Amino acid sequence: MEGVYYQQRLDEGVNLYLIKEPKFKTVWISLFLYRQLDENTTKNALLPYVIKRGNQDYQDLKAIEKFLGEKYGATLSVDVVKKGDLQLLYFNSNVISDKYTLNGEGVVSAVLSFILDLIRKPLIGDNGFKEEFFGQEKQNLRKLISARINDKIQYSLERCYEEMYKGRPFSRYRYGDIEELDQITSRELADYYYKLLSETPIDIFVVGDVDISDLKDVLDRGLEINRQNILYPMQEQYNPDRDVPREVVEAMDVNQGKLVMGFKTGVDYKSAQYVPMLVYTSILGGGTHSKLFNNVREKASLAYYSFARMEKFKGLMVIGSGIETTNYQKTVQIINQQLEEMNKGNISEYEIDGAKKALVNDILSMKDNQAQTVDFLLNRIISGHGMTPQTLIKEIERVTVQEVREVSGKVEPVVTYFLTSTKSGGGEMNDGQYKRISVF
Amino acid sequence: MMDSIKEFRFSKIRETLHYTKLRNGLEVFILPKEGYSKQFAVFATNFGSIDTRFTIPGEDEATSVPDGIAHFLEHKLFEEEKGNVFDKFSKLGASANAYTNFTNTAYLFSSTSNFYQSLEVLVKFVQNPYFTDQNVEKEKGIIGQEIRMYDDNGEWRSFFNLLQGMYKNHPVRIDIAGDIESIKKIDKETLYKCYNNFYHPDNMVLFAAGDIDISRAVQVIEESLDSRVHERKSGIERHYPWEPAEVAKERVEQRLSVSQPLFNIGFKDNDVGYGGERMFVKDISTSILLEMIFGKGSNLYERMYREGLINATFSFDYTAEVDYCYTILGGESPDPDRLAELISHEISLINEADLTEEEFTLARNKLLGRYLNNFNSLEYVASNFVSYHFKGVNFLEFMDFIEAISIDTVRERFRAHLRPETMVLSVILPK
Repeated sequence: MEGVYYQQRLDEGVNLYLIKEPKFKTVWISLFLYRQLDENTTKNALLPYVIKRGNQDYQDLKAIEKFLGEKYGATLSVDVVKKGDLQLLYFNSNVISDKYTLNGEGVVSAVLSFILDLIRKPLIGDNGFKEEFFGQEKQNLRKLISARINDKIQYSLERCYEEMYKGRPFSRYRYGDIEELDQITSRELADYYYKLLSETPIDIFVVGDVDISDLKDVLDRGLEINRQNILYPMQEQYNPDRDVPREVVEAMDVNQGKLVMGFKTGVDYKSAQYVPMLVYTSILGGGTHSKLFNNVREKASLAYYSFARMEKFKGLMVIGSGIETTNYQKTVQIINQQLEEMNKGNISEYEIDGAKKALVNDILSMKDNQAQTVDFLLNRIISGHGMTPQTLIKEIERVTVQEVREVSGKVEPVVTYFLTSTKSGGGEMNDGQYKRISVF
Repeated sequence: MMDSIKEFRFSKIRETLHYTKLRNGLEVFILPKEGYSKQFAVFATNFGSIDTRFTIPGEDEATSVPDGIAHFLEHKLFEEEKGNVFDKFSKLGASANAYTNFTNTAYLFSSTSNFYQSLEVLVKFVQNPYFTDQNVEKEKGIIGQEIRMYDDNGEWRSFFNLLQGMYKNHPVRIDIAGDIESIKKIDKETLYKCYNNFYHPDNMVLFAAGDIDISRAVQVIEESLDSRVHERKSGIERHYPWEPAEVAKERVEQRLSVSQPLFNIGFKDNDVGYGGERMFVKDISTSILLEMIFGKGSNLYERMYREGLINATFSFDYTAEVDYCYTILGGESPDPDRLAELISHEISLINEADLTEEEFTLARNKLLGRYLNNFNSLEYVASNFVSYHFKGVNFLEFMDFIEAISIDTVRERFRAHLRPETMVLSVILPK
């Protein structure tokens, strides 16, 4: 793949991508296992956390931390990531490049080996994962799932998507749900893990000042896992119902209301209109040059933030803004005016030019950030689009106002979601639980 | 006319810093970063939310200004007579932003083309305030929503509540943005007063990083500076109220719509009143100490995690400023009070001999790794550089300091700082 310095197939459905960048002082190692959002979503969310607690070589937190500490505090983080209908199990470490160790010792290859060992040498006995790790991480995940309400901006975005895709895989929370969690046993999770490990596509990304020869010993060993019947996950083809634009209002005891408007565009990574849609979204709400920033914030003083963003796997767009709850109608009205302006092609030279330049700046800046570099490659792999940063930039620069106007015809409202305050909305609090007061 | 540019090499981290001081007193630092697509520049003033009482050079009486004014000024500086400075950056394809913290205000941009033009825009707009009654009023709605947004943010609330628990008088106890009432009192006259006092080049610094031509960048800065501004004879006098050693409140509680309790635990550090190298040594040795006691490899961390009192969100940090310093721990916990009790108890049981050489080396190397990681990101290195600069420290000298720190220094810090009587607990409970 272009932009990748070295690529190696380690096993059936297992690839390593090395992006050599001497400018970085650390080496960033990311490993992803690709699953689909389904009935195993909660198990997938639980697995990285249980696996992180110890393996056959390093049997507890202290042993792991001692190893990482000796490697100049190499980090270890795990998570699950949602990309459209896909759910990715994620293992990451960031370790200083061998060039900066105090005594010239090598650390990168040992950390890569450690990450691989973490997933291939799990601490599993007759009863499954070690009961202590399993029990604690199950408890932690339970809290993580309920902590979804804590970040009101993120929560309201996810709630809007959820309403748009009711009952479909995409509506699932990336950490799963408590009902499923309660039913998982340690033995069952372990069995599922063995199955997952044999059939799940795996990609490993290494970004930093490192040569493939530094990693040769680790890579030559391969993955040493029994791999069979590799299961490649797919995005579901589904059109959210768009006949009746719906309004969903939910009340919580909050100070600021969160408005999220969800749209279906049908334009995803692989669409012919992908690039015009990027430009459209940026003109509408992609920064200080945008219509939303200038009209909702600067002119009307209604909000501190107001943005538009694409969901590039499902072909969606969302608009978000934090406002005084009493300004709900007024804000929706101003946002609708901006959509109307887009529709009419009332786009100034400054707006389209600012949007293009902002997009180009983001793409070029991405190369200076290891995590973003990985994310760009990952999105290419998952979506199957073939655009390199260079081709993408060329395409962006070619987009005309007319093309933006054309693509605006594809933007159809599906759900308007509003997180309002119980103080102003008339709903009542129910033992700390939110209560929906109206659904149209 | 080009002032001379000096070069400082830092071989251990393979970086070279270029420095010059311009005639009106502005210090300029440039860090070349080969291979980076991005260029980054920050123009910052040593003026933050705590600077609400000061004496203007030449005046006898001290001036008091409303809380949140530094942040308000930051918002307003983007406005010019003919529109918004963001437009100028957008036209150049650069992305501009700004931030205000307790001690400084910084204006910045990142670009991947048109760097020198963007640099010119940055230097010029920061020197060009345009405040009117109307544009000041308009901003109150926007900042009001920014304040409301943070009012719903549990972590943010927990942090500021903790500072109110730790400090009785020092303005660090007040929110950076002020509150809805205090910002109502802000008008254009007060903004100009603050601007004229604190936005003088001798109270500012400019830092740039990226694959850039150093002499050209310095030339652009020099030519963009207002030639009418000259070095001042006397400096700014800031007044901070007397702060007693004891904490204001041992425990602070607030209820918000969160799923489980959030906490911050703070240790107020009374060893304050100096910046420079001495402060840098204190800063680094305390960070090593915290890593040894609360780090993931420590006995205490393992115990807290196994008992379910903390989860992956647990974090800790030491903040060293000239006039106030503190340690903060934070995260989510089902029982913050039990956690605070455990920490207080466990710390009282630790002997200096328990802080071993081996743990010390591990913690020190971890810090070293974290430090190096800063240099991957132009933004990180810039914001750290600026904030340390105003405290009289060169952030790039970290390696020399960390290698000189011994376990004895760390043990001394343990004795002096982690004392149960300086501990404060802040909790956010679910509604």
